[in-house]
Amino acid sequence: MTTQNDGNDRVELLQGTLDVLILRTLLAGRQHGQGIARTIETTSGDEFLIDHGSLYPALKRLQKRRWIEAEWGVSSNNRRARFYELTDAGRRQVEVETRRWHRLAAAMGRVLGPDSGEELA
Amino acid sequence: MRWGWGRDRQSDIEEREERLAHIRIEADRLIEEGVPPREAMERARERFGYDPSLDASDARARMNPLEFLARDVRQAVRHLASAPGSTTTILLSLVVGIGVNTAIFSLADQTLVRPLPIDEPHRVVQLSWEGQWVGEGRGWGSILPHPLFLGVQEPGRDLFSSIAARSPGVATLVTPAGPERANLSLVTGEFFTTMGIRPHLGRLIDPSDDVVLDGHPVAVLSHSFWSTRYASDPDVVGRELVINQRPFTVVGVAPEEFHGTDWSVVPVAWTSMMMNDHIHAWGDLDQPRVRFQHVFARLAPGVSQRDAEDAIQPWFQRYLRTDMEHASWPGDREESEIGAYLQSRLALLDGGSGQAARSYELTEPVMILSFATLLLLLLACLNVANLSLARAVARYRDTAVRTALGASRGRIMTERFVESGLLALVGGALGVLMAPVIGRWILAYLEVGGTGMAIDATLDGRTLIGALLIALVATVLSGIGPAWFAASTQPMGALRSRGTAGGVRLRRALVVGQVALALVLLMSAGLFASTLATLRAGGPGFATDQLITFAVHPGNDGYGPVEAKQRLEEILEAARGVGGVESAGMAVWPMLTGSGWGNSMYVDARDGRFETDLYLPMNAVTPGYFDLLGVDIVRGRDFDEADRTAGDEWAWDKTIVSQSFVDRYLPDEEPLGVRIDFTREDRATLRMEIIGVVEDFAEHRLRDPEPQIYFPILSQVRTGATFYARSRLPLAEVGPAIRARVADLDPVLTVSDMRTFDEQIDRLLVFERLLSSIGAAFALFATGLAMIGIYGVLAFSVQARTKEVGIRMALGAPRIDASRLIVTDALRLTVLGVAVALPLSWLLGSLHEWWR
Repeated sequence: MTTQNDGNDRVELLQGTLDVLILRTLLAGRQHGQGIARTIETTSGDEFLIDHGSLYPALKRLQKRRWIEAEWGVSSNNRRARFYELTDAGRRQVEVETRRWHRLAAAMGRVLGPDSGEELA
Repeated sequence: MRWGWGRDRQSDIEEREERLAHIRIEADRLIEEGVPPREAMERARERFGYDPSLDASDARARMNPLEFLARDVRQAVRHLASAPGSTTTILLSLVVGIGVNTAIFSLADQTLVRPLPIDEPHRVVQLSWEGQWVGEGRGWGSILPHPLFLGVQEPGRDLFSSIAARSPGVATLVTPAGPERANLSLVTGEFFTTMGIRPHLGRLIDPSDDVVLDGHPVAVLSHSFWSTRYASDPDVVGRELVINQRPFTVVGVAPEEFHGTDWSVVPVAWTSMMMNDHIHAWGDLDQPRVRFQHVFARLAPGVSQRDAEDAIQPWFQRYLRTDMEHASWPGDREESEIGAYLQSRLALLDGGSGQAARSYELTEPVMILSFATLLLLLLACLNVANLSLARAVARYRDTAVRTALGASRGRIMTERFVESGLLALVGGALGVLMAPVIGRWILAYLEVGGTGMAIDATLDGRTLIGALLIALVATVLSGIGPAWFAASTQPMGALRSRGTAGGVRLRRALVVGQVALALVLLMSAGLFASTLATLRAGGPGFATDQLITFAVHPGNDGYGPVEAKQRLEEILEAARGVGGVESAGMAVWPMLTGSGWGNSMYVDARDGRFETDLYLPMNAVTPGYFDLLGVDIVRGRDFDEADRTAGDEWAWDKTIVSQSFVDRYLPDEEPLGVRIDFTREDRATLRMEIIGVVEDFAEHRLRDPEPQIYFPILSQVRTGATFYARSRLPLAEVGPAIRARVADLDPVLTVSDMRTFDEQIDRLLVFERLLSSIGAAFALFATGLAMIGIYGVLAFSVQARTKEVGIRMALGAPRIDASRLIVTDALRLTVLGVAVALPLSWLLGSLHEWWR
């Protein structure tokens, strides 16, 4: 579970959301683990902080499901790193998951109503 | 979860590398943002929340297997040390289980299995007469007459590279250490060639010593006799050794490891078969009706045991027919007996272990002991398994947490096996150290019974390998349960529950097994003890207190039969004159020593002449002998001086029989006046007349009374006699006085076998005493183990049921109910154990009955 509350008000990552975030990030092209984490963090406006204790198991899980593939390569500043890439199945999965999240988010939004303040965050 | 370490390690390494790469990439990024390198690295690390170099799985990956094992061992030691009680109990179980097994294994190996320390023992065969024997003496077919040995030379020429005969003898030897009676072995010329051994010093008996009757007074000393009596004198060859008052020349010393072909009777020296008459060995060389030799042969190269046996049969058939024409062939044999005689075969048995393995009475006790020790080991393993399981259960939560954290099943099982392996190793090592101690304890018993057996308590390589195997079996047996239990731990369940019922069923089963085994051992101990008690309580049929015995053999000290008899009479008179001695008597054969004289007899009953169906113990005794022992003449009279007519040992015409003889053979008639004899001669009446009937007492064995026959000692005694004296004073005082009197009378004479009669009986009962003592020790230990087992399981289940008991009592159940709950549980285990043990004990009981 992705919780890293350093006393600031970052949002807790809901269970099961990391996978889809990784997949979505990889849609842009191959990337190493740290890159994935950074991308998620920056695109979320630093709302999410990716805990590496969750990142590796998630990457493994996705590999096991054959949605992503990994190979060793060299990073832009010449560091050896493992690069991850979407498979065809993974590409399809991004669509499935994205649709589902949008439906879920919309449904949640309808139920919860308009943003009523900080107390629910 | 995965089995084994291979993949685990591989992915661990990859993950670690990946994490390190990420830290570096993050640090690079921070440096690009202008953070100083050092701080960048620190922040990157902090950012990842951990330092991979401190990761345990990472540390494991970098360790080599040896370090890995060392870590596991350290961890196991910590675990074991944290529960000293159960560790000590486990170790004790293992030490005793493995120690006793190793000792008994060594004993069994030496007595039943191990070949002689000779060259190519598998090529040595022993000849054995399988079928009907016609002649003196019963017993094993591997005891053969000398003419057969002579005859087999010719057909054996192409089959065997050498053939040899040996026979045992007892003689009086005079060495620099003084006179003594000792075992000799008489051998033919090719004996040592057949055994394939080389001398330690000088030479061995060879064919040049096997030519002229009575013409080869030469001796080869055994290594231990040479070192104890001649102080390992390197110049012993050529020195003199007096045997039965005649000087023999020492020609050599046998190698240290060679004890002859029979470890149960070890000779101190070997001499030529040609000296048979001088040694007064057991038979005559030219008599085909008398058998007293073991015949060994070494198979010629390329000849198999089977082929040789087949090839020798035509000759043996001719031998049987020729034998029937010999003057000594009894003319009175039935057709059926002659038919069976002609059907006999000359078998070739494995001879590489000597003759003792087949014939000696130690076989059964050793087998029984081996069986009992296996039970004991099994019991010890059950106990260890039980305790280890308890340990595993106690660590249930700990294991569950570790499983939840990702410890693999293989990992946890490995740890458990390292733990039980460590216990088995330490227990095994201590057990092996203890084995010689146990071995010596057992041998101390045997030493009292036998004379100079070649068994020792030290362990050799074979035994150590055996012990290793035993320890290995013990590890697997006792480790597999706990390891399996630990590995099957389900993390969620364990973390939720406070304790666990897991393993209890298995532990209960183990306890039932322990109770059953302990009961079996207890019952067999009871059987052995009751056998011994019955034998002791029954006694020989007369009071043994204040009875002492000793032997003198003038025939071995250079006297002829008539002089020997005179010497014996003088000694008897002298003994009667010793202070404290109330009465004394003598008999030609020693009583209750495991050896003796016996034969079947012909009886002239009212309804006709018949041969007794049993081998009857017999003895020749002095008048007053029965009186001395305290057995009553119930009919007729004792021998008197008038019955001691002139003549050789065999010229008796009066006899006294035991009550059992009358009960069995003359139940409905007046026994006095009935005539009996050794041979069925065509005479109107047989030679010896029954003049008395004596109460039953034990001549050969302490079991049921046997029909026995007594004769008076006449005017000749071939070798010597055994004396019995009732004495008011202890042996320590009377013994030296008797020795002094005998020495005064004739310094040449040697007094031997002086002891109290109780000691004599102890010697006779050596195996019964051994089995009874070991049985009791085993049973005690087994009961202790079973008690620990029951206690452990009960304590555990009581703890688990505290809540239940509490609720019951809160609801008003009386305290007694709670106790009943627990006691019923204990009883259930015990009853189950008994149910398992009963059929086993019944089996054991029948085995025991059969052994008796």
